[in-house]
Amino acid sequence: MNYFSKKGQSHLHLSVDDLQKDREQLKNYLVSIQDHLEPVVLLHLGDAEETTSGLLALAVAIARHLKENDRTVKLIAEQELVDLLRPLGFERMLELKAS
Amino acid sequence: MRLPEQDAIRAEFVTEARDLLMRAEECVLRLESQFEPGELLELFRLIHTVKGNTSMLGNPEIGKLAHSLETELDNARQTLAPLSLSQTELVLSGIDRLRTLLDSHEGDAGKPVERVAPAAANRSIANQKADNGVSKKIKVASRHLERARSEGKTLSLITVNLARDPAADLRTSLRAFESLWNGTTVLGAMIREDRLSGLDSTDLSVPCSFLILTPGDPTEIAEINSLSPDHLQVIYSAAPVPTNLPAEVHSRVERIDHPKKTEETHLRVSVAVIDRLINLAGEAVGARNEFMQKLRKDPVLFRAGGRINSLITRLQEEVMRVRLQPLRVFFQRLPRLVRDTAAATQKEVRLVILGDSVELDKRLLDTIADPLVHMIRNAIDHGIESSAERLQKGKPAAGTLEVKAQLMGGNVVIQIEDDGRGLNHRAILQAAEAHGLVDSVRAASLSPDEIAEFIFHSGLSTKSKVTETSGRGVGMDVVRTSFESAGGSIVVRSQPGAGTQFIASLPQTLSIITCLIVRAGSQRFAIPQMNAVELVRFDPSAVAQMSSATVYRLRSRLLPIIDLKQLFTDEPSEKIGFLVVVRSERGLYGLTIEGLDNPEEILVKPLGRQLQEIGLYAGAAVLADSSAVPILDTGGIARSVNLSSSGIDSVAQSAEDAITDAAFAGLVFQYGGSEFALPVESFPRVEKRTRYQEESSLGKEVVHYTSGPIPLIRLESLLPVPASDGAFLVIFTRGGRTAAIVADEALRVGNDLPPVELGLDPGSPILGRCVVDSRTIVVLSPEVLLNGGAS
Repeated sequence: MNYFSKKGQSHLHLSVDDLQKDREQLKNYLVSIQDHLEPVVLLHLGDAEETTSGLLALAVAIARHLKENDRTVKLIAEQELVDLLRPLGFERMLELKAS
Repeated sequence: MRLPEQDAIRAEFVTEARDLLMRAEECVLRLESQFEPGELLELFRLIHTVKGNTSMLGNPEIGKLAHSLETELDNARQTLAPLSLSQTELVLSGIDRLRTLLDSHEGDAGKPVERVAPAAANRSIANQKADNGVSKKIKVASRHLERARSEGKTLSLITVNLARDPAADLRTSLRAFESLWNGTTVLGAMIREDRLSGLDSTDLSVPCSFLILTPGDPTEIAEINSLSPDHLQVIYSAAPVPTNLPAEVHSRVERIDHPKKTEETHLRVSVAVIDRLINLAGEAVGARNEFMQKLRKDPVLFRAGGRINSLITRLQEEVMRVRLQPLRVFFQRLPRLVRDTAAATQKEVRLVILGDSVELDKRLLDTIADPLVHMIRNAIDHGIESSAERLQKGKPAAGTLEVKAQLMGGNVVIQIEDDGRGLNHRAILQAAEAHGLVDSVRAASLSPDEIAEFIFHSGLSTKSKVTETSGRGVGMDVVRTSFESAGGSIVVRSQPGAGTQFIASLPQTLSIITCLIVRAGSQRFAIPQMNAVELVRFDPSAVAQMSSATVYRLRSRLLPIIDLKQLFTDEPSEKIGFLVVVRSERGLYGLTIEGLDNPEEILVKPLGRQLQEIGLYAGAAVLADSSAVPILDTGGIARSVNLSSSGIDSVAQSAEDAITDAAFAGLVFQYGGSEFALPVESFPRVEKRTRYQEESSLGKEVVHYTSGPIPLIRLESLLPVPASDGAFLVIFTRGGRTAAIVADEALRVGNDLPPVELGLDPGSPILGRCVVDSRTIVVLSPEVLLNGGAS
């Protein structure tokens, strides 16, 4: 998981490697960067070829954590995924945007 | 006469017995490190089960041995006393003997089988709360209720888990939900935030509720395409359903509440059946390619074929997953292996295993299992010191052996690292010189990593002297060959006194790969995309003869080239169209070809022994037009023409010499307030640093780049420049090696920079300087940087 901030938005990149990591480690990482995060966080859902169901679950858990810390979270995924996620209720929880 | 069914049952038993013995062995090892009465009882139970099932085999020796073991353990069970060392040895050797007997029995019983867990077998329905009429617990818009009443349908809320299989491709998983739409009207969907687990939990589930309108019983939806509702609430039912749940649902609920056997969630399938499925999926991909190629002429039909196209792709993806096995299957053997090797060498070793859930194609796992065992034995035997020696050096008495697996992109990376004495570079170099692998002039300029590479040389591996002095070498050529035959690679890094690290990378699965289809003469060949670096239009004026090698000048770099047609027919190509730059373990080289067809996804078919022995082919494939082509082995070709890595380097060296007498071409970047440049001959390219994971290994920083781990260079460690946490990486390659430099910003790529004024010190990381608009640009030496800053 990597992040950088640009133009008032923070970009948080998730990859399948994050699934192997310890949850406590991920949480500690999020806590460590929390104060540096902009009000809007763009959560990038891995590389197109590597996006697994588990990664979506992790993204949702992270989004929930960030929302609890007053951040607006947008899930960033490729168009095909966006089209598939949209009818499944993600619009209500996360704002989707094609990359 | 024995019936096939009896064989199948025996094969089933043998597989199950192996599982039980594996678990029993783990129990023994745990008991040895820490005694737990519960563990002893579990061990007894496992051996008892093995014994109980032996009647199936009709093999009295297995029955007797299992009975003896059970008796031995029963005595220990009565007293609940820890097993003595002799008892431990006895039980372990008994388990080994049982395995051997099972192996000999297996020849009769058929092939080994592996576990698969089809999603369909994992159905569950929990917390059913069906109700007559309208549920009062759920609030829904009155228009939905009205619609259900007026249409005489059932309105329900069904909750399913979007991430039931966390490792499944997300697109494939999501498409499965399209089946919900069949015969069902979905009025709304929402993520169940109230049911989400927190970040602390390891639970990877995304519960999603759908408000649905169905003509009949909504539980039927659960049966569609393996979708299983975790929760179903009927809000309104036009046709009153019985107060109690339907019998079918009842029985399923009962099964969930009282799970009886794990077998209900797994099916045992023969490897042969899986191989046939994979073959069929591969054939389907080939037929699909052929079909789509023909449809291409008709846009309407081509669009219609799109659905078949995507279905076959999905089918192939799912079938390929069936053969993936968690590395746990192999890693389970390691505690015993380490224990026995440590005992035999009288050393203390602590084993750390990470990433055992990473999955790898079973065939590839079988190919690399023995080499991995060899490397682990080597690490303990030669790498890790005796306790006394370690204590003398200020190290902990017990050595640490770490075996770690990671999935990176489509590759599985396996690292084996010990904290032992490390390689003896001097002894290896002396041996390499003695065997004529390197001359003394070149030997002086080799980096430690380059010297370590000699341990993979077959000439050295058979010399016991080298093994004794370096601590590595025997069979390491076989190790590398095994990884290469699996489509992977292996490198070694070592720091004297600190330890040795082997990093192996191989594709997760190999059966279906994307290939370039090239033409040479009347023959077509396939080149795996992963081995092709670049394709360029051939320019005859760029060809030159240097010593005995024909080379091609590509952006100031000189590449050795091989005429593909001449390689197979002894006749040179009549009209060369393209140059394919390919990689091999000896570095990059060019293959000249006459023409090029569309790239294809192909199913790799094994070759017959005679063709394999030629050493130029990695396999064969059937193309979309039904013709067969051989798949080229780029490493084998390099070896067959004796393309040596030192030869490639010397050719490349002459290219670097050229940069000083002409306008300089390079990539200019900024770091710590200064401007630096790397010559284009080192293929510099810029990447965002956030894209790649960085870590520290044996005191060195590495970046996990697409090709595997590469050194990370911080210029402040080599030059008087302030440190900076740059956001970019400048990746460069030289002599087949790649490294990354931290950079603040890429400024430009120029081919018109003034000539470089060379520095006086050939060992300095600064190759020279040039001045542009009164600003000095420091030109870095790729070679010296790759050697750690000192040549």
